[in-house]
Amino acid sequence: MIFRNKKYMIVLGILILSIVVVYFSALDRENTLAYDNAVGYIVEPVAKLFNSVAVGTSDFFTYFKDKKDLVNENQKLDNKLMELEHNNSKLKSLEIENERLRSLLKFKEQNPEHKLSACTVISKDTSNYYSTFLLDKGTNDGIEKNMPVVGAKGVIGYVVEAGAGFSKVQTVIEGGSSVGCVVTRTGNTAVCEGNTALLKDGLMTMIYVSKEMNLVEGDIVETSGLGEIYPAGLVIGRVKEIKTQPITKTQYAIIQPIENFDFIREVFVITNYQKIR
Amino acid sequence: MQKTTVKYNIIKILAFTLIFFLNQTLANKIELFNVAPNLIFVTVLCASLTENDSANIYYALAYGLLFDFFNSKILFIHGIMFLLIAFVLSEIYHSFFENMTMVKGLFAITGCFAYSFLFAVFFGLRGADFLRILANISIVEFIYNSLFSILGIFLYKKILNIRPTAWRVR
Repeated sequence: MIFRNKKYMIVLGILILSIVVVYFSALDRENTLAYDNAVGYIVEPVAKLFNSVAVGTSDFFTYFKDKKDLVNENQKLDNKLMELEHNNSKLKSLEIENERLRSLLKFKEQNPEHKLSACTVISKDTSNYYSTFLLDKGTNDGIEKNMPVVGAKGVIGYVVEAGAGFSKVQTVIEGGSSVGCVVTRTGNTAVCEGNTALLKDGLMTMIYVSKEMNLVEGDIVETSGLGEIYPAGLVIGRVKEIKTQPITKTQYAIIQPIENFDFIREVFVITNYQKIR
Repeated sequence: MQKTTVKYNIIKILAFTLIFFLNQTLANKIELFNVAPNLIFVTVLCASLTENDSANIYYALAYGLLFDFFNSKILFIHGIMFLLIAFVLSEIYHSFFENMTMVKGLFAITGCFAYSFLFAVFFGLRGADFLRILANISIVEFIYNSLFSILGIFLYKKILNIRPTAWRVR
């Protein structure tokens, strides 16, 4: 009866076909069967099309999401970099300050006979004809007029004005300044004086130089202590050049001060020198 | 001669003081051949040439003194220089050449030259090498200040035009 019903025959046929296909599909075979190739031939381009559309759509939305993430990450990294650069710059600045303060401390330890008052430079002049600066201490801190001012390496100048909470220092390179000096190598004495024409080059001149002194470039010049302001033994600078006056034929020397007046931040004022004399 | 209001002078004082402190902090950073400009002198000079106002005499003296306090050993030296140069040039300009812009520029350059030259003479008389100061400092300073003064005159006039009319006459 079942075999006479057309519908049942069709279903049975499909079932049998399916079982056969399943059987062969499940087989572990080396070569693909002809029908696999036929199915693949039709399905493959369609699948490719659907896949490309799906991937393209996914990529499109992923692009914006990734870009946003990347931009955010980039911004965070930029901020972090700025912060690190800032910290690095601060550390470098602290390192330089540390070095400077160590030098000042070393100077203090090497000169125990002097009573030193550490001061900070609060303002430097901007005039082209003077070389002065202001310190943050004055008479309230024991600073008085005509006290010598030194840096970590040597002489800087002396106090020309002392207010209650500030003092003005004139450097040795300013025109009108003079320091009794001695050439360390030979022991000869001379006078170092500031020169307005050389002010902006940061140099000074040494006068009363005789040929017998046998001055050479590189000679170290120190304070002689013969003047009224500076004690003996403080380094002033080095001989840079020896020249002859064109008219009088007398010799003089150009001195390169040991201190760099453009970068002074902290100084010492010797507060007990006048008392020692 | 014009009189100006109190309000205007207060703002002028604040502006000049700001320029002074900018000069104190920045002038050394913008040196040309180791020579710094004197921006406060340029400002005082521009004010004197642009405005026919007697108050500019007091500004010149006051800011010259302030400059002396911070920058030199000799009190009044810059005060006198500022006052003399600004006053003389202002009187001549406003008496004979009022509203002539080119002449104003020439007067500004003359003022800068006078400032640098007089200082070279002053230090020459005190024993320094006059010619060397002139060559190393004064000429460069004169050129630098002149450039700023030309710019300053132009800017000063522009700023004055913005000023409210009520502030212009007492």
